[in-house]
Amino acid sequence: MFTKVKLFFALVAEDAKALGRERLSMPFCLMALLGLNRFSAVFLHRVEAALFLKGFPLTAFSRLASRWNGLWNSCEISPLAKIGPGFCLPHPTGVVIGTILAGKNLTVLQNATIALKDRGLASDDFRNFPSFGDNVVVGAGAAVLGDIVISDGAVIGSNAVVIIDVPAGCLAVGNPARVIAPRSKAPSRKLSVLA
Amino acid sequence: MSQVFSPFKQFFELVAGDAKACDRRPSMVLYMKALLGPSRFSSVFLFRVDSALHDKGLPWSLLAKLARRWNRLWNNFEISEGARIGPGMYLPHPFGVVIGRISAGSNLIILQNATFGLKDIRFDYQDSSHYPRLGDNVTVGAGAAVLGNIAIGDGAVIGANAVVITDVPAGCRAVGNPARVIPPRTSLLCTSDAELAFEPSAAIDLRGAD
Repeated sequence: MFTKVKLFFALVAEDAKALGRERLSMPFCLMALLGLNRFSAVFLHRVEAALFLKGFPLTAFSRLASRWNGLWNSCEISPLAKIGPGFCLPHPTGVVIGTILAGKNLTVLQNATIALKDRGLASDDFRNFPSFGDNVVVGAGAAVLGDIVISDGAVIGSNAVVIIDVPAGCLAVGNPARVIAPRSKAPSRKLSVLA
Repeated sequence: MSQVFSPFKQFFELVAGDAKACDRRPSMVLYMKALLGPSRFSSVFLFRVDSALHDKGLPWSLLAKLARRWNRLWNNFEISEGARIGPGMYLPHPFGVVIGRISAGSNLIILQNATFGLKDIRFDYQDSSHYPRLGDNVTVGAGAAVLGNIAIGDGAVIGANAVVITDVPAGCRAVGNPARVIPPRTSLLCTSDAELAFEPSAAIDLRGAD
């Protein structure tokens, strides 16, 4: 049981590091639990996810954490979402995240939506939701919808509506989103065409 | 003595300008209501308190921090204390607005879910040179994102859900994702509307000249 608690705090410490907090302290966690600091959105989501489906008293706490997150930070994240360490929400207002799979260091900015493409699909199945690699940034107001893959290091621009796969290191902007290759790779490709 | 009170005077002049932009009569009762939250004026007032007190030493900086949290709780409005914004700022619906360290002139109007921020998340948050600069009388539509080190001229209008990453000249509109700039209507029809209405040939001549 204690190993699980230890694992939980190791995960949360990684999240705090992504927000620029080197060491995790007890007052910091308590403030986050009460919704009083910038870290509270991610912390409440981690608590909710850890206690979800754990039987009666703990499940009630999980629901409380989710409601508390909606009240203080106005952000809703599915407790079934599997998000790796280093998850960062700099401004949690209006963020809605479904049952996604994500790697390390996912950053989601305000008003972004990561959800189903169609309301009729099952909302507890990973296969209906986008999957993310490591170090992905989702810009303000973006919508990432449906069964797509966003690979390592991809960046989703502000207000983009992404319904296609985004390869590693690429940029997706516009509505509907188009994919832009990374700048560092573009000259090398041009050179190879010339040669 | 006047030197002690001049910051207060400046602060209340600034806040009175904001109250007028919000169609409220500036009064102590309004400020008290705004401080506690239940007023449409509270988002702007709490930001003014935050930016006035955040660098004033310990008891005041704590109060500034409280104002910032209070703003996030009641209005869902996050603004950097380093933003320099002129009088007459008005947020009809402050929900979801996030503003970085921008500089702006007077009579700025911002609608819900708009974002002013960095173009690249790897930049330094503390450096205001990566943030947009706005002129006077700018209106920003719902859900718009104004990103990076760009200049928005006086009287510009940013459309709803536009993503602006280029400069917008004075009086122009910027719409779409990515935003394109539309020049003001009056410059297309150089002559007055009355003249065009009575002499249709004048309009045709103008278009031909273009």
